[in-house]
Amino acid sequence: MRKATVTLMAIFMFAFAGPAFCNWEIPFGQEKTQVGITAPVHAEDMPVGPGSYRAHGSDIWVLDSVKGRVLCFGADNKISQEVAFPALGKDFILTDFALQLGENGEVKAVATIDMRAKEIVVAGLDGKEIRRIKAGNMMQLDEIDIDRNGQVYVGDYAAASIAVFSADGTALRNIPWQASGFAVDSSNNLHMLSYAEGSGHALVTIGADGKEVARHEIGMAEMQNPRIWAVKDSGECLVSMVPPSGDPSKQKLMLFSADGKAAGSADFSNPYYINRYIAASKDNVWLVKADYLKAPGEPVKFDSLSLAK
Amino acid sequence: MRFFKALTFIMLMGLVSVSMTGCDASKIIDVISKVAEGVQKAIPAVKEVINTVSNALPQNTDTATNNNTATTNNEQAANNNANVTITSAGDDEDVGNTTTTNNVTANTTNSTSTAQQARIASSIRSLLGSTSFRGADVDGGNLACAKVVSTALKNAGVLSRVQLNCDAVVSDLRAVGWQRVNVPPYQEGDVVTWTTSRGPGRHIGIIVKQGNTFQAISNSSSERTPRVHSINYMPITQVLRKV
Repeated sequence: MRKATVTLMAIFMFAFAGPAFCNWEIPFGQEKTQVGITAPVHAEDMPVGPGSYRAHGSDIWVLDSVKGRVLCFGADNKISQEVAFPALGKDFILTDFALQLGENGEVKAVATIDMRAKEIVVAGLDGKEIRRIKAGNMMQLDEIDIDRNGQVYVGDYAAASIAVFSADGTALRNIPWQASGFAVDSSNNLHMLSYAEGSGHALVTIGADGKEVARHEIGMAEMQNPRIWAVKDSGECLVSMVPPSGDPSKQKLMLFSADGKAAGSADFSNPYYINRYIAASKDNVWLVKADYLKAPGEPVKFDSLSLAK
Repeated sequence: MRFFKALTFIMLMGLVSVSMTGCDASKIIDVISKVAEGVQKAIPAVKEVINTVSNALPQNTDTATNNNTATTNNEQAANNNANVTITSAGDDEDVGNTTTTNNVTANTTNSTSTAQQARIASSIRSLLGSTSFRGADVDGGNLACAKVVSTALKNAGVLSRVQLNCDAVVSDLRAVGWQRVNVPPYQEGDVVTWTTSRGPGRHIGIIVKQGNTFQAISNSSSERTPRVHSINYMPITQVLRKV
């Protein structure tokens, strides 16, 4: 009887613990199931590997910057989706990507930015081009997000602004931005951060029409390099900041409620050579754990971050 | 004996689960508690085993708490450090000078350096997107980081000449009183060098500020033009500032 009970408990432990916490490992290499890595060739000696990671449900989506595609790995660590971006230019530089969600929260398209060609490419899950937007007047194309209606937001560090394009590719406006990340929520609102001497940081929400709809002070003026990574349906925002002293690679990831109250935090060290290394789904937050200098020897792994209150 | 066998089996399975789940202790403990509670209700016969597991849970929680405490202590220790500390990067640096500087001198120096930092930042920003750093002397833009930075510093009145390698720029800065500082906090106009696969200090840039976001501008070899990027995109070797 006891044996049976113990076995039952073990099965339960497996059943609960296994699928609940994904354990992705993404290998580097030439094969279709592997992501590309380019050894340092230029004077900067920076290896080029996947530039951006995003989580959705129990999946992790990866921008395979070398091979010009996006891969989706399911909880079982198998590739469940591959989207190769069509007609990329020579020597493309893909720095970021975004997932366009449908009405039910399903991924229906992916968008990326090619820094070299200064182009935004939106493709369906079948790899067919939906939209190609020329952004020749932008200085740099650094970050991208896309709302459920297909409106595209592209952050430009050099111009300190976010360029907004309608779903048909029309340039709508530029929003002044302090290069501190941004995220679009399920109601198509843009969330960003704003800093002012004295009052510190504020969470700012901007509607799809460009009008500010909310602003909540969060203070913390002593913290530097704020970056907003994701916003939940509830309006909670995930923000990282660099504490006023300590190791330069050490950061604090904080969860703020919709009205700007701190709701939890975790300390982490950022990996190098990756533009988007915090991937947040509805229930989990993942930190990319990778050293591209050691690729292809060591695969990309992920650490789950618990935001303690 | 049977009890110990059972306990060992459970612990083994727990370990396997932990290894499969990325070692998220708090979540795993949650799962184990849920399983233990369910079995406790259904089968009274295994109460003894469950109690043992339940007894083990606080220990794990304690470990997690201890880890958190250690992290907090580290943070506090870090916070106790001075915001800007001159470090002994080289033999030519005189750390003792900072402690004997009087407030008036310090304030004058601060306002002078703030103006200089603003000039440097403005100077490097004016080079963004420039195609002037693609000559043969910098391998068509592949080796232009030192030239970009020293040009910006020269235009800002900090240096008197343009250099083509990182060590020479750092050496020139030290000669005019720049010193290595601990970061964070960052300041606009700081000069930063990074460690590449060729070794420490092989890439160089200047820190700029937007709101409260500190980024760097350095030459991009792949784009052959200066661009703005994260300071932490590569490991930092050192940050230099006029102190």
